Amino acid sequence: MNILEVKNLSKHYGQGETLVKALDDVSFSIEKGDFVAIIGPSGSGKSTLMHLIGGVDQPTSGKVFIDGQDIYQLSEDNLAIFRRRQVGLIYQFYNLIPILNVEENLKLPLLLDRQKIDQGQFQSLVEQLGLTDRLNHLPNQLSGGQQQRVSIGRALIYSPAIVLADEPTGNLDSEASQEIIRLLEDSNQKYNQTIVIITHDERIAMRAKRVLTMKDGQVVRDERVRR
Amino acid sequence: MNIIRQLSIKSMSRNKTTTFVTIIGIIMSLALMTGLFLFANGLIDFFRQDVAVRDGDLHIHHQLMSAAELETLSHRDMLEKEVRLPYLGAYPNDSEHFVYTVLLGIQPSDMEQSVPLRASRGRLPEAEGEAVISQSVNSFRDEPIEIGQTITLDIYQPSNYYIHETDNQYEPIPGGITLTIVGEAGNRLPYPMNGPTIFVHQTPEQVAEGELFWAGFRLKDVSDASIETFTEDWEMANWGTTSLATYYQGVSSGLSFFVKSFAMVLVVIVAIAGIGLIQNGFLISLSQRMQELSILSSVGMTRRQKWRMAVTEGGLMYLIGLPFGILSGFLAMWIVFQVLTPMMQRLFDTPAFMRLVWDWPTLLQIGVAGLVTVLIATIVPALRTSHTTPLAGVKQQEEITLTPKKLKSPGFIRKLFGMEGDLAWKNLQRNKRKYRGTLVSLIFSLVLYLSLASLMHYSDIANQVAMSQGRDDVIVYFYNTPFDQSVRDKARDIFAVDGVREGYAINTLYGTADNQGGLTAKTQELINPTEVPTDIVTFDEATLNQLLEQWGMTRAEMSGKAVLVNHYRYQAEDRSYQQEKLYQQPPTELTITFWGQNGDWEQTVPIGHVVDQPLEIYDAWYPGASLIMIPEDFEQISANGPENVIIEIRLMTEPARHVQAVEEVSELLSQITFSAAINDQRANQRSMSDLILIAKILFFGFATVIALISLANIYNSLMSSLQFRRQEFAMLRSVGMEEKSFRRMIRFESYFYALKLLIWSIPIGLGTSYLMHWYLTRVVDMAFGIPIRHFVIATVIVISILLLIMNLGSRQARKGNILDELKLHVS
Ligand SMILES: Nc1ncnc2c1ncn2[C@@H]1O[C@H](COP(=O)(O)OP(=O)(O)OP(=O)(O)O)[C@@H](O)[C@H]1O
Ligand SMILES: [Mg+2]
Repeated sequence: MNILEVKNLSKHYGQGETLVKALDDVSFSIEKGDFVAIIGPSGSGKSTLMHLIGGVDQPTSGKVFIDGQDIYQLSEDNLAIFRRRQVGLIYQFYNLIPILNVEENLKLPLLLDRQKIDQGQFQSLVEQLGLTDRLNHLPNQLSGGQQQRVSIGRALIYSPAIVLADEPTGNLDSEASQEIIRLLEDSNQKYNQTIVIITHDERIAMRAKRVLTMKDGQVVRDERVRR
Repeated sequence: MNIIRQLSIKSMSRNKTTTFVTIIGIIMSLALMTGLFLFANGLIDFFRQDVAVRDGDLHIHHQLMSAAELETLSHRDMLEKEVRLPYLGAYPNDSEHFVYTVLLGIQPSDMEQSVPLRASRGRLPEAEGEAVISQSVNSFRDEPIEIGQTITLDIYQPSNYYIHETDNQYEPIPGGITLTIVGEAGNRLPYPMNGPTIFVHQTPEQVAEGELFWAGFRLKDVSDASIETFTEDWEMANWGTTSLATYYQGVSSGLSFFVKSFAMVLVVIVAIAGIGLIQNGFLISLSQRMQELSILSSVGMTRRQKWRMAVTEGGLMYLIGLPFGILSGFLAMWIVFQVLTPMMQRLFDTPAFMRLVWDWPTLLQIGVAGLVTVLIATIVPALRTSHTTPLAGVKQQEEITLTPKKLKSPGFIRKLFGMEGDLAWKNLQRNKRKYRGTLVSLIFSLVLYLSLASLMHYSDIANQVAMSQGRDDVIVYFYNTPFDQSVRDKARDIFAVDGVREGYAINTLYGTADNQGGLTAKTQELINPTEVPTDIVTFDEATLNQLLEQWGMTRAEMSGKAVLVNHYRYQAEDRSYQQEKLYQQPPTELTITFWGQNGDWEQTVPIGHVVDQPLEIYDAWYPGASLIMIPEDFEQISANGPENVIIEIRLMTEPARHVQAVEEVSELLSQITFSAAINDQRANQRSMSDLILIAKILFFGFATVIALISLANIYNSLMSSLQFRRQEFAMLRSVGMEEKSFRRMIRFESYFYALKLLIWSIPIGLGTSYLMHWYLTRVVDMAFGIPIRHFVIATVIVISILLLIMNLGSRQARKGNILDELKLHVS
């Protein structure tokens, strides 16, 4: 079953001479439980694709289906609700709300939904993230890696249909990067969580089950990783 | 252009709204300062005109100068005008205080402007040999001088013209003087007429021949210093300044000094509000440029250069604001003066008018006050700028200092208001320091508004209280006369005056009765234990007949008996008015003692009827009894001691014909032989209302501009704070916050902020309101009441404004493209 379907998706910036086709008629689909890495040179449209899938940007043309729902047919408010329940987005930078502590940042999608949280599940997630003794800290009191782990936790907490991570290891050393990837892998294996990750790091890409390569706004290669 | 100025201008144009609002604030502050100075000047000028019309246009007077002294005056170049009134002689009075009546010569031209005489009877002298007497002249004469009379007076040349000397030698002036007295000068001039004086017409030639003079001077430039220089050779006792002189700025002690000081206090208030706004504006534009500043310092910009950059920015805004501020101040005051002049003219009964009076020193003062305001406002931001380290800007300074403790929100907030309320609360906590300045300036302006509103509220009440003592437009009092036929006839004439709509007479004979007991408990507390004030009262026929009908009595039944009004009003300790019954067990007769010039006398009055209600037209205003009797009985009793009688003729007039009616009544009163007074209640009320209206216009105008300045301030800080948080907002939306929730969060933030504001302002406002009440009750009696309406208005306005600004400011963050907002670098 396809959890994600992208059909003829395009995103253009500017006009005429300055026209930039950040995304140029891209189509592909991803199955539930897949772990997909997107690689490609800088400026090839990776982030653009990811934002469109996450429902935080508007496409120039084309469609995005998540769990069979055409997300750009949704109203603004329903799209917001969709985002908090079905999508876990991890940005390249700036992920956390500075005035909320770690616990609140983690629980944010649930709090917005006025949902009670399963305390046991929360504790095990926190343990897994290694943030047990940091729950009362504010983002400014955390290291870069810790901050990134909080955003991953937040992306995972609602068990969304799909987790999208844009270079979550961008600013981290290789050890910290490994840890982050391990986290994502775990959740992929244990909970059959669908994960899409953008990366420049070949080694990280190789840990995925499938690798999409982008160039000039198009998907130029799509391969299964054999282990 | 050097790089520093260039950077300043660039940053100003980038933060357009902040810069714009800050400049508007500077303009308003300057306009308000200009307005205050202009008003102070205008007011002083107004009174100066008024005093000049009443008392003359001279600044200095000298009571006795010889022709030679006047010719050799050492500072003649300082003079704008000189007036000489020659002493023509004097005749002795039989009085210790005013030992003689002086004859002073005066030219008709001087009667107009310099020593303005007003004929209260007859006219002013126009030809040679004519003279007017001052009002006190006749009180020192056995044989009064009649107007129109030609009289020859024996006059003398006293050895000394000083009024208070009794050991004078008198040199008779041969032939005396023959004068035609054409009128009486009614106005009391503070000089030179402080004693009985006869002003005699003089030609310029006659004045030139004079030897001794009362001399008055008008200076070109009036100040303490110029007065001192001009009078340096004179003996202290011989000269003085006129009241007009105290209406000049340079002259200390006097109204101008008071007005100026008051204006200065207000200017300081404006400056405080202005500093709050401007400082905040700078801080905002600087915090938005932290990164840039740190980069500048990492490429080697020195502290001094950064400091200069901040000050340059302030200076530029000041220069832009200055002309607009001063011009709008002039314009606003011109309009205010147009409105005020007719009211002030009515109020002070003067032809003087409010006009724009300005000079370069004043403008310079305004400019300096404004510059000082701006400079003070730049100090903190400039300091902060110059201390920016290269690192500080990379991380946002404020975010670094956040701690979980600072952001702790009480649990009930989330329970009650949800996630949105919690976020709103935390945001306020985070921005505490940033908001403090804004908060203080808002509280300040709110308290100012509330205090002024209270002040106006109380003045209104005071006016109403003063007026509620009677619903009548005019009251005429007759004293020391029994209520006889001639008085009744006069009252009838007065009732018949055209324009009098309704009228009644209340005649009271004041006395006391021995306390025979039977009083209510409350009354016993209130009065002297041995006697009860007991007055005998009667009315005119028509009014009495109405009352009889009301009581179901006939005139015959009342004859020889009194109706006891067993009811009174009094003022309680809290100064509110209360009503009370007098006797629990009303007596059947009362023996009343009256005071008399020839010894006290008594009268026993049987009581035929008791009423426990106040009479609509009459009620005692102190604990005591009123005994209503028929006029014949009243006349008979009061004949024993008319000195205890006060007759009040109360009139209600038709508004359109009120003035003529009052004139006609006065005319009627001038023909009577006993003492009478007329009290034009409507005119009193009118001028009181005018005064209150003027105060209202000024105070509310002032409060409004201060409020606007604060508004600009809050606009700036809220906008910048919202701007600053755009990225954060985008993140919240990206995680799935709907617009509804977002709006809720913003709304909560506004409410919390308003709450904080009101929690401070309302108690302080109430406090000042109470203080004001406490202070005012020393002058006027009134109960304490809160101007609730104004408090509600203030609250509603504050909340609406906060909601409006917050909504406007978060619009972009709410509606814009999440990604664009996210990519914004906080800079
Ligand atoms: N707001 C925008 N306006 C104009 N062009 C844009 C805008 N955002 C992105 N682009 C362009 O779209 C193209 C794709 O950008 P995108 O951010 O998706 O690249 P990327 O593959 O994520 O690169 P990187 O690996 O450096 O993050 C780039 O050429 C970029 O210049
Ligand atoms: Mg990217």
